[in-house]
Amino acid sequence: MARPLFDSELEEVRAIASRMASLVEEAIRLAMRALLERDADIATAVVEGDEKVNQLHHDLREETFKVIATQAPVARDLRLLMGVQYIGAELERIGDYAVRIAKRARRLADEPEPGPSTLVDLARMGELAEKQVHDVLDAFIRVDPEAATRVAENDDAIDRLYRKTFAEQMSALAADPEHVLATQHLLNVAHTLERIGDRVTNVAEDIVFLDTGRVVELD
Amino acid sequence: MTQVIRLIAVFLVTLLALMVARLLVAGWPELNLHFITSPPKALDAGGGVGPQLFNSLYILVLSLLFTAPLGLAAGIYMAELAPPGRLTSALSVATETLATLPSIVVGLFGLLVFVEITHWSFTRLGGALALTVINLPYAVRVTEDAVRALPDSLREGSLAVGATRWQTIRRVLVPAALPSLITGLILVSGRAFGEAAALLYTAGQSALRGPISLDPFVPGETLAVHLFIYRSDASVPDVNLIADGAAAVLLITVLAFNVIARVLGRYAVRRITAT
Amino acid sequence: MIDPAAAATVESLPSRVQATNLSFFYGDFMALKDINLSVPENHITAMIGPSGCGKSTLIRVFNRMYDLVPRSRAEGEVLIDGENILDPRTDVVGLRQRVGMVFQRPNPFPMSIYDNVAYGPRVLGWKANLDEVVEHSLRQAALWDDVKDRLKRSAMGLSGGQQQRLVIARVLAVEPEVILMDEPASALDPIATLKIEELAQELKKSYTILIVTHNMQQAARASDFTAFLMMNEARYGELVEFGPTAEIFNRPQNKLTEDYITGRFG
Repeated sequence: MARPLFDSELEEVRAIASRMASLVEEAIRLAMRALLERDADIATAVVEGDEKVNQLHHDLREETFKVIATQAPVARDLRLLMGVQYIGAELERIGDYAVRIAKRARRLADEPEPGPSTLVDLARMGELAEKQVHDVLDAFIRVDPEAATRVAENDDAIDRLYRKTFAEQMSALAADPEHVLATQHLLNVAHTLERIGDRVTNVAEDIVFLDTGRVVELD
Repeated sequence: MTQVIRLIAVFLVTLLALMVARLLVAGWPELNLHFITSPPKALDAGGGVGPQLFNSLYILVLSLLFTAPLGLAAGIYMAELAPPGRLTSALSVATETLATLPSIVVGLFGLLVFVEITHWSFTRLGGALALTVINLPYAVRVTEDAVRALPDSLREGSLAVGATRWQTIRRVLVPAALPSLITGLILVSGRAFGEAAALLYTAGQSALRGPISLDPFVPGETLAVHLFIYRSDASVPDVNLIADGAAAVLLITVLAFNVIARVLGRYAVRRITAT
Repeated sequence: MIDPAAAATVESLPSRVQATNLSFFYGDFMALKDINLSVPENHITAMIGPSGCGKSTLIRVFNRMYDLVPRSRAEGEVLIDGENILDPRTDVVGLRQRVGMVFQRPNPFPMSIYDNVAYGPRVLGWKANLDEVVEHSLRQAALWDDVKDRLKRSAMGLSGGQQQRLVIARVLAVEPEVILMDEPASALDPIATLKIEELAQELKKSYTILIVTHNMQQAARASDFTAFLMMNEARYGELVEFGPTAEIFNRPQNKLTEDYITGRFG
C-alpha cells in the first residue's frame, strides 16, 4: 500500500524548504558582493528579496501543519515534517543575516574605503558561509546525515577565520583610527557570517534528526 | 414483480381465511361444552368428541416428554460436541432420512414394534412413541440449527472466564437459543395434533368412555383419527355435523395451544434473558 | 532486530507472560514462528501488524483459546507465573480465569446485566458475595453509574460501548491477572473507543494488558509497549520488532516496522 497523495504532500514540503535554502544562499552571495563592490543597489535588492524568503517560510509552516493535521504522520514522516519546520526557522534567520550584511554594505559604501588587505579574510568568510549553506542544502536534498555532519565540521574554518579577522581588524583600527566606523561595520559583518555558520550547523543537526531520529549536537 | 408477490400473498391469506371460516361455520352448532365433553355415540345422533380431545392432548404431552429432551440432547450434541467426521455426517443423513418417512410408514413400524413385539396392543404410549419417531428428527434439526446459529463470540466469552464446555452449553447457549427452540417445539406440536396415519395402528381407533384415566396402556383414539374414521366409515345419522364439529374443535385446539405455548415461552425467555 | 536500549527497558521490568521460541500450527500450516516475547507486568502491550500476521493467534495462545480450533498445536514455551501453559496437563479452566479475554465484538450473554457479571464467579463455584463482586467489577469497568439502576435488565439493551465495558466487568469479576483484548474497540464509535482506552489506562495499575489492534493511532495512544508482527516470505508470522511504544512510533529500528506504521506497507 503506497500513499501517493501523502507522498506528494511531503515532496511539496521538501521543495519549499529547498527553494528557501537556494534563495538564502543567493542572498548571502549578493550581500557579500554588495559589500565588497560597494554597490548599494545590489544591497537594496537583497533587503527587498528577503520578503520572498519570509513568504516561503510562511508557506512551509502552513503546508506542514496541514499535512500533520490530515495525515497523522509517524516515525520518518513525522520527523521529516518536524525537521523541516526547524530547518525553515533556521533558514529564515540566515535570510535575516544576509539582510543585515546588505544593510551594513549600504552604510559602508558611504564610508571611506578601507584597505583591500582587510577585506581578504572577510571575503573568504563570505565564500565559506555561502558554501556551507550550499552544502547543507545538498545534504538535505539527498537526506545524507554523514554529509550533514561533515558540513557541520567545516564550521570550524569559519570560526577560525572569524577570530583571525577580529584580531586583524583590531590591529588595523589601532593603526588607523580614521576608519573606526568602517571597522565597526566590518566586524559586525564578520560576526554575522560567524552566526550564519552556527545556523548551518543547526540545520545539519536537523538533517541528522530527520533521517535517524537521533538528536545530536554537532559542534 | 412486487405486485405479483403481493397478489400471491393476498391469495394465500384469503384461501386460509376461507378454509378457517368454512370449518368454523360448519362446526359452529357443535362448539359447545356438551360436544367437547361427551363420548361419541355408536348409532344415534348427538354424540361428542370428549375422550378424543383428551386423548389428543394426552398423547401430545406424552410424546413431547420423549421428543423434547431427546431432541434437545441430540441437537446440542450434533451442533456442539460431535467431532466433524464420517460418523457425524452419517448421523446427520440418518436424521434427515427419518424426517422424510411418510407417517403411514411410521404407523406401520409402530404397529410392529409398539403393538406386536411389545404385546402392548393399541395404547396411548404406543401412539406417543410413534409420534416421537416422527417428530424427533425435526426436534433434533431445529435444536441443531438454533444452537449452530449462535455467534461464536458467546462460546468464547463464556470459555474465556473459565467456564467449562458443559457450563457454556447449559448456562449460555441453551438460554440464548431458547426462543428458536420454543418456536420449533410449537411447530412440532402442531404437526402432532393433526397426525392421524401414524396413530391409526398404534394408539388405536377406540377411546375409553368412562371417567378420565391417565393410564398410558389403554387405547387412545385421537381427534384426528376420530375425524378420519367418521369420515370414512360411520353409522350415526349426524356424521357430517360431528365431523365438521370435530374439525372445528381440532382447529381451535391447535390455535389455542399455539397461543398458550407462545405466551408461556415468551414468559420463560423473559425470565431467563431479562429481555 | 531489537534496539538494545529499548530491549533493556523491557527486560528491566518484571515479565508477566514470557513466550520462548513459540511456534503455532493450524494443521500443517505454520502461523507463528519462533516468537520470543516478554510481556511486562502492569503495562499495556499493543500487538500490531497486517491482517494475517498472527497477532490474534498469538494472544489466543496465551489463554489456550486455540484449543477450540481442531488440529491446532503450539510448540515452544509460554510461561505465566512460572508455569508452562502449553503443557497438556495445564488446567485450562484455571488458566482462563487468570488470563481473561475481551473480544472484537461486544459479546454480552442474553441475560441481565447482573447475571452477566456474576456469570464467571458462578460457573467457577465461588462462594463470594455476588452483589459485592458485581458492584466492584462494574465500578472498575467504569460502568456502575450507567447501570446501577437497571442491573436486572437485559444486557442487550446497552449501547455498544457499554456492552464492551460490561464484558470487561465480566472478565474482571473472576479476578484475572492478565487481560487479553482482541481489537476491543473495532466495533465502537470514536468516543466509546476513547473510553475503552482510558479504562485500559486505569486497569493497567492492577492488571497486565495485551491489546491487539488494527488501529495504529490506538496503539500509539494507548499502549506502553508495542510488538510488531508480520508474515515473512514463507508466510509465517514473526515478531519483527518489540519495544517501548514511543520508540516504535518515533524511531522504529526495522525498515518493515517503519513501512507499516507510516502506511507504506507492501
